[in-house]
Parts: sequence; C-alpha cells; structure tokens
Amino acid sequence: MVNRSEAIISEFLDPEILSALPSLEIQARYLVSGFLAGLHQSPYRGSSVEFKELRDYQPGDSLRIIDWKAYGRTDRLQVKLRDEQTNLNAYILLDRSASMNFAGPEANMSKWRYACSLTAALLLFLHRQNDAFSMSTVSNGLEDFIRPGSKTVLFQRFLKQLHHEADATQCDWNMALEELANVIQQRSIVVMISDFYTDLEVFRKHLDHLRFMKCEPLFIQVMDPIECDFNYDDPVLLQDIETGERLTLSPDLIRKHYKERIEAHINGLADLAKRNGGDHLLLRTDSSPIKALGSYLALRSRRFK
Amino acid sequence: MIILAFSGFLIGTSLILIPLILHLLKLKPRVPQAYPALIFLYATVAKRQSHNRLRKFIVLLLRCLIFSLIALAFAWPYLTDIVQEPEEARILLWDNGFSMQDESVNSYLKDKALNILQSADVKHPLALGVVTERVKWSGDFSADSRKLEEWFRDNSKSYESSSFREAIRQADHKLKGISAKKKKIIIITDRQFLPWENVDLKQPLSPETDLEVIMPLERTAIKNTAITAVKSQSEYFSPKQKIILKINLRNFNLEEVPANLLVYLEDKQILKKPLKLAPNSILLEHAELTAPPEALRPLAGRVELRAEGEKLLIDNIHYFSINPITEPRVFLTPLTAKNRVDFIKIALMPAKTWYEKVNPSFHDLTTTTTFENIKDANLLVLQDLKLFNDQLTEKIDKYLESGGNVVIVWQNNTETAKMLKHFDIEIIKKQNRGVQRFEMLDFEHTIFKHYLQVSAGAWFDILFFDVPTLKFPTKTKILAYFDRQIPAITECHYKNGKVFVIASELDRKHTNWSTFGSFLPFWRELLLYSERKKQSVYSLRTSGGKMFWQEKIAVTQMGKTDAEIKDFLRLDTPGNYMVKSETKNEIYNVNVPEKESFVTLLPTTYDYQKLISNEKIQATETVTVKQKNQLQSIQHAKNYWWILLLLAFVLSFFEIMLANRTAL
Repeated sequence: MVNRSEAIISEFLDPEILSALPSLEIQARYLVSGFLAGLHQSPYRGSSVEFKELRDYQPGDSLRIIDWKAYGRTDRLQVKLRDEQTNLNAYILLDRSASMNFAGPEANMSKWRYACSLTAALLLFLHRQNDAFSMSTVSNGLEDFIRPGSKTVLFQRFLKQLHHEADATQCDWNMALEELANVIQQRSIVVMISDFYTDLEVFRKHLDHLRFMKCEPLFIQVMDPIECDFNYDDPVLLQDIETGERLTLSPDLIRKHYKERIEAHINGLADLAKRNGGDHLLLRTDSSPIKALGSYLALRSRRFK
Repeated sequence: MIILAFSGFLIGTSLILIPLILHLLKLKPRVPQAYPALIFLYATVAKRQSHNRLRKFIVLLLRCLIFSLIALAFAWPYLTDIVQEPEEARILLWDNGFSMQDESVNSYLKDKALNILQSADVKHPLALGVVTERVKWSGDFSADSRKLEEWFRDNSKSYESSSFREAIRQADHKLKGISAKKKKIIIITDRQFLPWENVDLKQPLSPETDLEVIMPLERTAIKNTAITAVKSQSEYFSPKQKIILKINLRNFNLEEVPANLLVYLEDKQILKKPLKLAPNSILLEHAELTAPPEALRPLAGRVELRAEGEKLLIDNIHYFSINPITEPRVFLTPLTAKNRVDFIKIALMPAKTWYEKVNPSFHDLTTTTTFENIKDANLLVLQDLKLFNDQLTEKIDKYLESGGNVVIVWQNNTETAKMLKHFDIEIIKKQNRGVQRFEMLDFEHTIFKHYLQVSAGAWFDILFFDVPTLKFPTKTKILAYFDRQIPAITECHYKNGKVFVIASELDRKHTNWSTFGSFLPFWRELLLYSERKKQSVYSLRTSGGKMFWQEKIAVTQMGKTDAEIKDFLRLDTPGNYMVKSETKNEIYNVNVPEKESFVTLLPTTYDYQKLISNEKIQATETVTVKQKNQLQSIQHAKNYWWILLLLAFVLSFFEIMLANRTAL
C-alpha cells in the first residue's frame, strides 16, 4: 500500500533524486549558531517544558541554564536546551501570482511548478526533522494561513494546497508580511519563494521586524532562463502575463541594459537579505529544483557547524 | 556629362530593392508572447526605441545605397564632354612639316584650322593630330574648342618633315572608336607632294568615314633655296689646323636666285660670299676654317644662305660641329736584333699632308709596360718577344678583354711559340724551305678592300722565305694564304678583341714585302680596322625624338643664354648642342631634314578621294558595329566605377556596425 504522503510527494519530487540526496536538515540560523547574546527565556517555564539536549557552554549563555550536574561529572560546562529552544518554526510563503506560471523555451517546467517542487521538498525535510512548519500561498495577502505544526495531517494538507494554479492577479507581499508579523513566533525561519518582481522597499520594513523577532528570512528567487538572459533572436512582441500590456522590441538593442537591471534587482534582494541576517538563493528553472536546493542546504549545514 | 554605358543594371537594382524592402517589412512580429518581467523592459525600451527608429532608418538607407552604388558601378558611368552618339565625329590632321611655315600659306591654313576647331561641340566632337613623320594627338574626342585651340597653338610648329601614310590610318582607326552618325577626316596641308608620297591609295578608309583635304587655293610652288648639307672634310686633331667645310646648296626655283653665303665659327663670321644660284640647281661651296690656337676643343658653327625672295627660311640655316679626335696609340715590341729596320713602324707613320688622318703615336712595349699604359692603345704589335716572360701574356689577355687588337709577327723562337700556344695556335712546321708567295687574299675584307680599288696584281709577286705552317683554331678567319694552302695572315676574335697573326718574319731575310707598295696601306688599313673608338655621328636631323646615352650626360643648346640643361638630346629643334659627361665633351648639330626642302607640288592628277570607300555598312552589322564602337570609345573614357565600389564597401562596414537582425 502506497503511503499517502509519498504519493503526493511524488507528484512534485522525483523519488529517485530524493532518495539519492543525503539526509538534510533545515536549521535556523539563530538556533544553531547561538551567537545572539541572551536568548529570550522560554515563556514555557516549569516541568512541562521538556529537556531536549545538552550543548557546550558559550559566552553569553545564562548561568541558569548551565547543567551543573553534568559539569560535576564531566568537568565541562554545558547548557540544557529546552524544546522551545530547539524547535524550528518554519513559515513558507509561496507566490501564486500569474507571473509564476511562465515557462520559457529553455525551462524544464514553469516557475510555479518549480516553486511547488521546492516547497514540497522543504515541507518534507521539515516534516522529517519533526519541526513545525506552515505553508501558505500569497496573492492579496496570505491565503489559508495555518499556524505551524509538525503533524503529518498538516503536512499532507499543505501538499494538497500545492495543487492550486498560479493565477492570482498580484502578489501583495506587503499585506502578506504584515499578516505574518502578527502571528510569527520568535526564532523562526521565513522562506519566501517567488520571482520577486516587486519593489524591494516593500520588504525592507518587514525585515526589520523579522530581525527584531530573531527570525531569519530566506529568499528563494525562482527565475526562468529567458528572464535572466533575454535570449530572444528576432524582434519580439511581448505581453505582460499579469497586466496584459504589450511591447514590441528588438532584443539585440535592449538585452544588455535589461540584464543590467535584472542583475541589479537580484543583487539588491540578496543584499537586503544578508543585511537582515537572512539569505538569498537564485534558482533557474532549467536546473533540477531538488539538486539545487540540496546543494544549498548542504552548504548551509556546513556553514552552521 | 556622365553617361551610363550599361544602364540596364540600374533596372536590376530596383528589382532587387523590392524583395529587400518586403523582407524588411515582414520582420515585424504579429504574435504576442507572454512575458512576466515587462517592468524591467519598460524603462530600457523607452530609452532605446527612439534611438532605434533612427538607426533602423539609417540601416535601411545604407542598404539601399550599397545596392544602388554596386548597380551604378556595373552600369559603368563614364565622363565625357560629348553626347552618346554625336551628329558628326571629326578628326583634323594638321600637316606639321616645316614647309607649312611658308608665310604665304601659313596664315590662311591656320585660320582654316582654327575655324574647324572652334566648331567643336557636344554634337560635333573633334580630335586633333599634328603630323610629322609620326602623329601627335590632342587626346580623345573633345567638345572643348578652347582646349583644342590651345593645344593646336602649342603644337602646330615643327622643324620636321611630314608624312600622311601612318596619320591617315591612325585617324581612321581612331574614328572606329567612337559611335557617331557621321565621321570625317579633315587634312590641312600645303600643296607639297612629300607628305603624300607613301600614302597607299589602294587601301580605302572605313566605309563610314568621309575625307576632306584643305589646301591653299593657288597652285604656286614655294620659292625655296636650301642648304642641304655641311661637312668637314678633314679630322680636327691639332691647334691652328686648317679645316675645309664642304657646303651643299640647292635652288628649287625655276629662276636664278642671287644669294649671300655666310659662314660662322663660334658666332664669328669667317666668310661672306655672294652667289648666284642657277635655276633648279645644286651648288657645292667650300669654306676654310682655322682651328683655335689653344688646346683642342669641340667647335660649333653655322652656315646661312640669304637668298632674295626667300619664302621658306628654316632650311637656309645649317648648323655644323667639329669635334677633335684623339690620336691612335700603337705599342710595338722593340726589335732586339742589331741593325734591324722597323718596317712596321715606318709603314704606320703617315705622310705629313693635311688630308691625312692624325698621326699615331708609337710606344715601346717592354717588360716594364703596365696594363694601365696599354689599356687604351689601338694596336699592339708583337714582333719580337725574346725579352718577354709569361707576365706579358697576362697583360695581353687583359688588353684583349678590354677590346684591344694584337698583331703577332712570326719569329722562330720559343717565346713566339709560347705566345702562339697561348692562343691555341699550333706550330705544325717551323720552316717550310723555299719560296712562298701569296696564293689567295680575302679582298672582301676591310683591310684589303680599299686597296683593291687601286691595285691587286702586285700582291702575288711578293716573296716569302722559310715560312712556318701554323694550325689555327676553327673560328679563325684566314685573310691570306701562302702557296699550298699555308695560312699567311689570319684574324681571330679573342675575348673582346682581335688577334692577327702574320705567319712570316718581316725582315729582308725572310720577305721583300716591305719594298712593295701594298705594305704601307696594309698596315694603315690594319690600324684603321683596329680603331677602338667608333667615330660618333654628330650630324642629326630633326625627328621629334630624343637621344639618350647610357652614362649620365648634360645637354645644353648653344647660343642660348637661358638654355635649360637636360639629360637627353631633343631632336625637334635645329641647333648646336653641347653634350657633356665624365668621358664626353662633344657638340652635336641638329638640322631640318633635307627632303622637306623639296617643295614639289602635289600633282593635279593625284586623286586622294580614292581613299573614300565605296562600300556601305550592312544594316544588320550596324548594331554590332555600334556596340563595338561604344565599347571601344568608353574603354579609355574617364570612369570611376572603382570609386563607387569602394564607397559601397565602406558603407557596408557602417551597415554591419549599425545593423542587427532587428533593423526594421
């Protein structure tokens, strides 16, 4: 009998590729590196809070969480980590605007399909490592937002949501991040998957808040090769997918300038992410989503160790 | 004006442009393609599109221009000042012989010529040729009458003779190169027969060519006397020498003409003699000149004949020059035997009369004589080689290499044998006992030829004793044989010189030749035959040509204060010309040709109209002939097709730079 989750997953991810990947974990920067001085006390004090594990003492850690017994035994200073200190809350926001439906001649799949594959992979990794996760699509704001959890039912429900079409007329990140700000928990990771054809100023103020909440933003930018390279040969009549506006142009004439603008936008986004303690990943739809993601996560893991 | 030779190519251009423009128009896309990131394109396109419109227009313009230029180049535009097929194409042939300078006909004929030249226009183009022994052309057919007139004035005077033989053929050929409704050759000449002398009336002109001859209205012969030749009768070889000038005069008139004969030497009058020239006669006069007392140098002079009523003055002045000659040098080996008489030396010494050539100088050829001493000698006489060693052979070889002449006189000794062996001459027998006489002489040879005119008989009475039998190389010329076919006198070319062998000793013991009258002239003729420097021809006639030398020379016309120094001798103007170089210092004289002075009239029966062809061009040939004529006429016309192609090439570079596949 086929596992239901596996059946859904296989719609988005090639099981062979998936199985070939090493065990990957998604870890939040703030949780793993612990470089922030003075972690907030867990609001969940008391014996109901489960002791999770020990780790070595690092300067800045509170003396209260030092495990003196372990010190007596091992002569090593170690701190106790509790559940809420180790649990990752991941919020995945997926752009469902019509522009994500675009597939150029060199792409393996549309950006939406690619993004769904990425989302599915992320959900799978998060589910495997028993972290809490939430996924919602973004159009006029967050759609069908559900608080993070780690249950399989939730996992399956989120996967089903990926069957939606990318037909929203817009992707209002401002509204979505405002809504998220009201519900987001500290030390979470916010994964935004989109082509980010929007003004970067929209993200600036929200990223401040996320940083305040010790949340890590991760921008996964999905683009079609033709959007990156603009490799049209002949004069072309283009029509905007979302607005329907048309434009006739000569690719040779404007290619260079177009690429400069695109690169500036991508660099701006990456810069924005880094300055706010986050990360930026540019993926092209002519590459394998899982392999690309896998390479990124492996690199990330090494970085955090 | 610019005319297109092959205008059909332009039509081809327009045909090419049609698909080009259609193709360009088709490039505009009609089917929209979805694109998500137009926001990034708007700003870029807005900026670039306005530039692009202009660029597209320029590229289209460039492409059209390139095609047009290529088509235009193939259409072969050429510059001409005449219309494509003029009404009448004419050639004017002007008789440029110096007899045309007769004042009684010159102005009349010149006016005629100028009227014809002034009538040249785009529909009646004209080419002008001035005729001497050759033809000088004004260029291609032209409608520029002013330019033709100018050219005519610059070129219509000459001191040469004239002939229409080649001029008419050339004019006919030239007319074939132009396409015109009518064609005509016009000849302007005085009534002199000379230019028509060699014209072949049996060879008519091309069918479409007409002929007109313009001559003076009156049939009167020109009153002319002339100096036809002036020549020095003797060589100039010493200061204060008396030189006789022989002057040939001619009276072409049918009546007696009184005249004065004047002779100038270096602008100094040395003779003025009144004469009466008999009707239609030749007169020979002499003038005695005295050479300057100082060192020998070239002398220039002139002779003038001032005759009453003279019409043609050009041939009444004749220039002459007298260039000194250098003495011939003869080297002889001294005779070692006592009391030996050097008969050869005596024979070569000329008698002292003023008809003789300059005295040769005699030098001893000894063991100390160097090559430098002998290198310019005319003759080496090896009559006694007893004192000489092998070193002499080297000098002799070098001397022969430089073009010298050697005489080896037989002596029965080792040294002579060695010398003969050096020239591959074998001694078969040293002595043939008994008497020998000349059996055969080559009287055709220059050495004997002149003497033969005087006497031949005495040669065969000369006696020779104990002559050797010599065997000569195969290319040796035997000038004389003894009895029994024994070579007596031989000539052989060796390197660049000549070796003569006298196969007998010349002393009284071995021959009595020196007592015969042939002995002296033989040696003198041998010396003359051996002359190394050929006497130059200093007297030249006007011909329109130029004379060059291999070495660098400077030529100036004498008697002119502002004379230009040239590196050639021009033969178009009479006068005396000083020619100087490192080795040369000579005067050349240039005079008008004698034949032009003969003012024989063209006979009334002379029918030059025979030159006009009776044939008509076949109608079917006309097109082909016309096409051929057109091609011929344009091949030399000024055209700039290469500039058009070059321009197209340059524009194509710009097109490549500006254009891209999206040029609309």
